[in-house]
This record gives sequence, structure tokens and C-alpha cells, in this order.
Amino acid sequence: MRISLGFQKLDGHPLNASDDSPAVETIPDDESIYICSTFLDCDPDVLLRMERTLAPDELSRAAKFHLIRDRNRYIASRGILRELLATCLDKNPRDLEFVYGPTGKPSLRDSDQPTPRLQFNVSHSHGLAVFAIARDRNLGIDVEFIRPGFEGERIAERYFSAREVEELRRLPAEERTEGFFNCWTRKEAYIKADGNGLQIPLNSFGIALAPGVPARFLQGVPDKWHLACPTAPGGYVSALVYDGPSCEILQITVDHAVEKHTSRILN
Amino acid sequence: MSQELSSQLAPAYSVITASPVDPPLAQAPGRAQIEAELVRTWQDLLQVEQVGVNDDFFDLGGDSILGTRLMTAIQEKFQQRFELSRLFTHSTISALAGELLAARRTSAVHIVPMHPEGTRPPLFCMHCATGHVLRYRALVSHLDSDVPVYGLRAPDVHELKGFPTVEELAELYVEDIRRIQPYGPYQVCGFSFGGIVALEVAHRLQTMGETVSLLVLLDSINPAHYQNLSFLQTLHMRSTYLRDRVSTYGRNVVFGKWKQLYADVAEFFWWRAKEFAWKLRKNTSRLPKKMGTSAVQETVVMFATAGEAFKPKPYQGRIVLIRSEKRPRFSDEKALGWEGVARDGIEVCTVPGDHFSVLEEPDVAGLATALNGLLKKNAVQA
Repeated sequence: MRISLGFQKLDGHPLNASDDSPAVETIPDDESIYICSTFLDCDPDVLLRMERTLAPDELSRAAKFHLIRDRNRYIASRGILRELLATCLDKNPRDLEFVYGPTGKPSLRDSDQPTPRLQFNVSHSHGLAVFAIARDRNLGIDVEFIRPGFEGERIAERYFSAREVEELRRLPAEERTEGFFNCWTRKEAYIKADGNGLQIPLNSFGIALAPGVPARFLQGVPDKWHLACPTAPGGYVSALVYDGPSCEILQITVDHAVEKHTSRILN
Repeated sequence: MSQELSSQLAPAYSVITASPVDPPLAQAPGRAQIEAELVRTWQDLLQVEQVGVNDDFFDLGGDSILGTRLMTAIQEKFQQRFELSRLFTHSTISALAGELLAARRTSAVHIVPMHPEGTRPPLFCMHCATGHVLRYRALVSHLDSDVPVYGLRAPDVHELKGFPTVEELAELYVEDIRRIQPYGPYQVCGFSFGGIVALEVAHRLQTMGETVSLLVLLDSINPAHYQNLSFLQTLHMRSTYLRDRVSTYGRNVVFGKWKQLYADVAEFFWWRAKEFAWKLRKNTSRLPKKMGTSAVQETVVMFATAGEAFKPKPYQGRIVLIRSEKRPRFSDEKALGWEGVARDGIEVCTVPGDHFSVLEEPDVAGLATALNGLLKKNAVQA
């Protein structure tokens, strides 16, 4: 199975051949980052095809999950990641090999790497996965399901900076949960982009978190890092952090049987 | 369908809560208890019924946000701080329990968990001049069982860089206290010399921005106060003390308790001789290396000397002094010299017994009742 990729710019307009913008290559160029968000619950036959592309270590990891739902989501997320990367590299998804860093972050084996290197990052929450792919730059992406009624105040007190806690408290009650998750995803995306696990204390840097306010770093983050908030399906928030020269963020739509017969079967 | 499917395909896990080979850790919750508690926490957080000690947090559906809630739960249940970043490398219950146990063993070396169970804020008891906390045993057995009690024992002599001051001891203890209870409000107390240390510990916690909700001195005197008495006051104190000694010895003579008389007098002279010897050595040998084993046995004198050199700093709070009824040498001073040290004043509570019997049966019951009352009142105010 090959997936067909459709592209649209971050502002939501599909890219047509008639558009003035440059034609999208299958592999991201130096000035673009591909991001893709997709639900992970999918038809059994699709899942089976994806499972066949996984490496033995991924399959044994999948076998460790407690819930079938979680196992299937893991298979789907790895399957889609392989599809995406294989499409970019024009290879067979099954032939890709991942190597893992000390914090478990996967990257492509050197012999699969084009020059400049392809970097990617994945995050998933509550059945939704987001992928970010770029070349020659560090990047981190995070998505979180906005758990309704989640009481984040104590977590905020411990993990957010004083300024963020104050900003969160100033928000009207109905916006506080979203504000909390905005802050969390943006922080996590930065931590992931930096690549040193959670070694950077989460309360050592500040970001803007209020819903409807442009996302940006406020303090404590080196200038080279940029923050963007890709649109996410309703009920989710996501954040992307990357370094390097300014670039265009292209949202990829994945066209496969995923998303069509989702939760009905396995939830 | 999903239910059916999961029951067919999911591996069967049983709730394994304990590794039977682990010996129980003296008094502190052992591995079995920690694991059982973590299993319950994971079941709650992850909404999974069956959790085994070797299951991975992230395999059970955990993520970093749930991780933060696990850290909060660990702090509440075990009064231990665990960094979120370490969950990624210790993501099974068995690994977490091992880390929690190891942290407790290696980091808070001066902590003696005398009664670590309980849901109310913990009470920290500083060692007296003996350096150990065994004297508190009877007291702890009388305290309300839902108050966790931790003792602070003195460092081993090789840890000390020369002769310790109260300030140096307090610095060590504050660090360990914060490993057990990361944030205030704190409750600290100490018997005799321990009260002096407790005051310095409380002072240090306050300078760190923490609140101290209860500071109790158990029959401690303020040595600085007694060193600065006027000639008349000194004379008065000495005569009171002498009167007490003479009447004690006299009573022994009258009732023919020769053994007791001999023991009392011997102790009187032994103590003074040791004190003199210590002071002499302290002035002649400044290198800790020269502190031989004979000096180690004289911990009491060492700490008493440290206490005598201590000058209390103004304390931004209230001191509670629970004193024994019979404290002959200082009996005419109700507050044992502590007036004016605390900004919010001193509350004195007198309980039956003398300086030594106050921690022993049966007199200890009176002390425990007073302390229980204070702890309860403190809980209500908080």
C-alpha cells in the first residue's frame, strides 16, 4: 500500500497547480516542514497491511501493550510514519530502519539518510497522531487531547513558570483547561525539539498560553527556536517547535482508510 | 466486541503486588507496600484494572501529563519528590519502587523513620546530645498514630569536618527533612540539646521561604541566656542548684542509699572531668583527624559544647516550650531563658517529671498529651 499525499499550507488553503506557490516536492526542501495529523483507529485490513511493514523490534514493542486499542494505535502510528518517510525517500516502508537515541527517540539509519538529513518527530494523544518531517533542522511536535474538566492547576504550579501560572489564573474559568494544554504542548514540543529529554526544567522558560493569542516564547528560550501551532481537530491542541531558517509549514493530508471506520470497531 | 477481543488476545496479567524475597525495611514502608500503593495509583490514573509490577507506564496508556499526576501522587503518598524525567527511564512499578527506596536510603542519611505511617503532616524530632533518637521511643508510642514521626540522628563522626556547630548540624538536617517533606508547613521539635537544633532548623527553613507551623522545645534551656547572667542571678541559680543537690545527696544519706549517693556523686565528677578534658582537647587539637575513638564516645560532651556555643537568632514565629516540672538547676525560670527570642512570644507548658524521666514511662504520658494537643491544634489551624 502506498499512501497518496495531499498538501495544504498551514493557513488551510489547498495547494493547486495553479497556485503561485512553488510546487511541492515529495521530499521537504530546506524551506519547508511537513506536518500531518491523522486519527489512528483504522480498518482491520489497513492495520494488517501496516503491521507487515513493521520491524521485529516494533512488533515486539506492540505486543507489550495492555489494551488492544493501544497496540493497534501504536502499529498504525509506526505504519503511517513509515509510509510518510518512504514516500519522501521513494523507498519501500518495510526497508526503512530506525535507530534509537538515549531517550528512545527514533531516527533514520545513516544509510537511509539523504543529504541533508531528514528529521522527523511524532506525537499522539487520545487516538490522534501528528507527524513533523523536515530536513537538516531540529524539530519537536506535540499534540494533546484537551481532557474536559482536567484540573491542571497543581501540575501548573509545579511545572510551569510563575508568569505562566499567573497568566493561567487570569484566564476565565472556561478557557483555563485549553490554556493549560496550550502551555503543556508548547513546552513539550520545545523539550522534544531540544532532544535532551526532560533535562530542561519545564518551569525554566515561558510561553504565551492564552487561547486566541499568538503562540510565542516569552523568556528563557534561545532565539534560534521558533514556535508554531498547527491546526488540530476539535478537542485537540498541538504545537511545533523548530530551529534553523524561517520556513513554510505544509500540512499533509493522508489519504487512506484510516479515519473512516474508526472508533465504531474497537472502542 | 472490543471486550471479547481483549479477553481473547490480551495477555492475562494478575495483580502482583509484592516480591516475596524482599526483607521488610525497618519501619519505613517496604518494597511490598510501595508497590501495592503504586499499583492502586496506576489503576486510578490509567483506568486499567490489572496492573503488574513489570508493566510499563507508557504501555498501559500513560503519557507525560499522566506522568505529572503520578509524580504528584508519589509526593502525597510517600512524601518523596521524584523528577518526571526519571519516569522515562524507570517506567515500571518495580523500577519506580526501587528508585524510591534507594533515594530514601542514600539521600536522607540522618533520617530515622520512627513512625513513617500517617496522613497528617509529619513531625521531625532532632536528636539530643547523645546523637541518637532512641530516647524518643516511648514518646512516639504515645503520639497519635496518624502523625508520621521522623527522627534526625547525628552524622557519623567521619562525616564531620572538625567539631560541629549547631548551625552545621541544622544545615545537614534541613536538607534531609526536605527530602522527606519537600514543602512546608513544617513541624519540628527536639529534646534538650535537640530543641536548640530544632530552633536553628526552623530558622533555616524560614530563611528559605518556608513556613514552620510548629516549633516545640522539649525541656531545652537557652545556654546563651545562662552565660550572660548577672553576678546576683548566677549566685541565685547556683544556690538553687546546690540546695537541690545537697537535699538529694542528704536524702540519700538520711535514707542510707549509699549506692545512689555514690552514683550521683561519681556522675557529677565524671561529667565535669570529661567536659574539662574535651575543652582541653578542643583547644589543643584543631585537626579532625586527631579525633580518636575515645572522643567519639564523648558525643554528649561534644554536643553539649556545641550547644553552649550557640547564639539563637531572632525567630520569626512562636516557640512552644514543654518543660519538666522538676528541673532543679533552672527551676526558678519558667521559660528556661527563651524569653525574647521569638517574635510571636513563647508558650510554656509544664509537664510532670524531671529532665530525664520526662521521656520515660510513666511521666512521658504527660509530655505526649501536651504534644498531641499541640499537633491537633496545629492541624485545625492549617
